[in-house]
Amino acid sequence: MQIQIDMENPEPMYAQLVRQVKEAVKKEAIQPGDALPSIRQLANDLELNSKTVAKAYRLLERDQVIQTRGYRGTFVHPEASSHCTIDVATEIRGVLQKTLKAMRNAGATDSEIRIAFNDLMNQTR
Amino acid sequence: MNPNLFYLVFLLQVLLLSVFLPRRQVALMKNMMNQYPPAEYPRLYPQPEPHYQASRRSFLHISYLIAAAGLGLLGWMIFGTRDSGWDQQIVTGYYLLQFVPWFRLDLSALREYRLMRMLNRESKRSAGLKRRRLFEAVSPLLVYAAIGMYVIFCLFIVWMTRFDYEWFGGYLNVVILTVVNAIGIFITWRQLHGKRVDPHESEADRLIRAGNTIRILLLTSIALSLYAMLSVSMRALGLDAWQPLALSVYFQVLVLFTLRNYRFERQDYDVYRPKMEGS
Repeated sequence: MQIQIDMENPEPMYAQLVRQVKEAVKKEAIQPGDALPSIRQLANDLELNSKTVAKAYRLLERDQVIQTRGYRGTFVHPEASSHCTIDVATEIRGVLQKTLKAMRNAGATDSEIRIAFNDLMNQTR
Repeated sequence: MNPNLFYLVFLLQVLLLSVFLPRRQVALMKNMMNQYPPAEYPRLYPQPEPHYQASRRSFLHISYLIAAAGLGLLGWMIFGTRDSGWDQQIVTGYYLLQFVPWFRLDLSALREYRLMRMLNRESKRSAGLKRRRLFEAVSPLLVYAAIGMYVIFCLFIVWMTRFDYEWFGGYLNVVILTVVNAIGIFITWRQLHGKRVDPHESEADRLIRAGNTIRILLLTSIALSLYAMLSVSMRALGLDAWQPLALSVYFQVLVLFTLRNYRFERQDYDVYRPKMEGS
């Protein structure tokens, strides 16, 4: 199974990586329990900064598509195929949409919501 | 020891490493160029064709020059006045000299790869989604043999320290071999997980190339442990006069074994064909 990073693609490189790993799991090109390349190996092969690959791996681990088993390395999560179908971006959008609707119904203006949202984002960073 | 036997073995070293193997190497290079011509596989040759012809010629000429020097050295050993106590140093020094053209060849290959990377205008980069493992590149048996030989060597040195030989370096031998093996482990790691040298190379070929290097390192480690034990034993048994001969045989066997286990052919040459528009 090969993954390909397009440097001219406007999609961030870490996102391309995340998407392709998830696609590979969905297509069963990689199976639960399969060993994935180390961050350094993948970064060297793709000539990317290891921080980019580490970010992609972090997101995949958060989504429980992959799991790190200490010094033994990174493996495909046993439940990876069911977790791949979860689209975090859509989930976030759904929750925010409901909140926005509730706030607008309560009479809050868009600029008030935007300022409050930005403040919250900065505070919790 | 009959000196004629040493002369014969040294002559074999001269002919093998500076005549026979360079000729074989050049024939392999020529054959590869005929089989995969630059017109069809332009990405395999970052420089114009005459450059490769000149490079092959100079490799062969330097090797022949070194062979001539070796024959001169042999003539001086047979007919001149010499101190046989220096034979071992002569064999080692000449062996190192014999590797100069091979070293140049390696350096030029590295330059070729650098050029390949510079000329590579591909916006897409690909990689395998599989961890490269040591045992996929080389046989586990070879790895265990190298580890086993190192352990035997350490035990041998521990055993030898019981005796009071003035010349014996003791644990320094273990330190030297450990450092050599540690360097080998570092190179092995770089081969498996390090930066890609050839930007077009397929995953299978990368593994073949890594396997070649690691196999050489393992064979060298095994041979070094064996030779070090043999050398210490010969000295302890008062067979010093045989050392130069043993050293020359060791170098030749090492090179032959290494080449025997080397895979020159790649699996996927299509990656070096010109890219079609839109592909």
